[in-house]
Amino acid sequence: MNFHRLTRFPKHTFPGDLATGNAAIDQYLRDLDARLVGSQGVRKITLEETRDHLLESTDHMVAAGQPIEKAAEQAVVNFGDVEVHAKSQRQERYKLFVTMFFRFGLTFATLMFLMSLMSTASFLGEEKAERSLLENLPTMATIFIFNATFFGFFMSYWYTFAFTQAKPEPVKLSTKGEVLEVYSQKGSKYAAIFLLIVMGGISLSCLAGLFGWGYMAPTGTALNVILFLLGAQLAIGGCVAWDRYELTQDTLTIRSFTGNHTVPRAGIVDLKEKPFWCSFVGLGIGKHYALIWRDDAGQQHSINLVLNGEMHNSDSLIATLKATANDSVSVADGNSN
Amino acid sequence: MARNESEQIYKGLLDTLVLNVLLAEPNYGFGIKETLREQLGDDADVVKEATLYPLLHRLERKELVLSYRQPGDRGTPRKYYKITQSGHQYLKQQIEAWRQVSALLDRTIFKKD
Repeated sequence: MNFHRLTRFPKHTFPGDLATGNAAIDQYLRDLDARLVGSQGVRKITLEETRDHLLESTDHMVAAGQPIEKAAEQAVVNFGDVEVHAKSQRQERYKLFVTMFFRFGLTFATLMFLMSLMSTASFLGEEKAERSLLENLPTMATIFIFNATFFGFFMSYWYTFAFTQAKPEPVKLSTKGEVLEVYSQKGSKYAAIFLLIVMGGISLSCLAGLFGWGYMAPTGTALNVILFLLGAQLAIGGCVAWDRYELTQDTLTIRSFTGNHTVPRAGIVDLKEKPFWCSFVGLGIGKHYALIWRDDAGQQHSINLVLNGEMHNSDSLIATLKATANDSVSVADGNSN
Repeated sequence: MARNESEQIYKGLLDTLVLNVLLAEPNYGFGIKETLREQLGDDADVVKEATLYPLLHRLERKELVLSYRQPGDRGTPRKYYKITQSGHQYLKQQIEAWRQVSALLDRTIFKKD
């Protein structure tokens, strides 16, 4: 019955910074919070939107001449039953949980299955490995299901109920006018350093194993190659935490370890989200996008952008770039008509 | 009863109306509601918050709109909704479908002999 309470770890309590000082609104927000799923950061997204609406609605009625207490009560009544809004958030999150459960779980279990096959083949030889596979099929199926369930549950729980989106930061004023800056929080950088050390270590061990050194030497070549690539991909991928995007009226500047790139906004043609699997195989932790743009000579270019929810203003950047791309399409349509 | 039935029709129309509001510019929940209230006039009551927000979140899941947050002046971020390219396409189709319904009604029920 109260399954949703299990998802509210570690902070079950109402976020005090959302209190408005108005009894009717605060009570409504507390009631809503008690019915929502997810960590405080996840619940805050819904609470902040509700709070903003209730305050705006109250101000509107006060401006029309109503006393503030009555206006707040009316705003709460107009907003409707708390359970309707809470149910909508719960359903949305549960659906996301199921989707991510299968995506993460099946990807991880398949990877582990392939690694196990390679490892067995390298230790026993191909012929014996084939026999062993047939004999141990039920065990391997059980391990596959266990891996899919355990990893799928763990990762999906984190992604759906625990992951908190970075707070938006205001645009900055510079000599170039308003600048929207997209960058990672400090915590992401510490996590990236941890990832670099751990996954870098695994990757180097496998590289050493390929040359017959260290504890990974008995492992087969194929498995060592895969683990080396996987470790390196994650270790380097974490470095996206130091990527920085600056969007001005005229340009988008991308600063990353691979160098700095400047794209003229007027030349942006499209921002395409790459398929889900690109996040697993591409360099950089986050969603992968292809930004397509044309230079002054009309030549088309594509540049890879990696953005994630831990970056401040990443959602604003995506919305602005998509709008810029849409505008350029509209202009092109207009010209062709 | 008649009022109830027209409310059902309006609810069916609501996703088209919301997308149409977002066609002009990105907007946030209360802003969308106010714009719809002005557009609908006497029928504004059909747009209830308990319908609007779940609808916005559903449109977002279908990728017909995307959302982003910006710093707000009330101490918390404000969530804006923006129509996507798929949203544009869907809106075009919906407008065409409603135009056909309207034409059909004109040819039949509203036909003046």
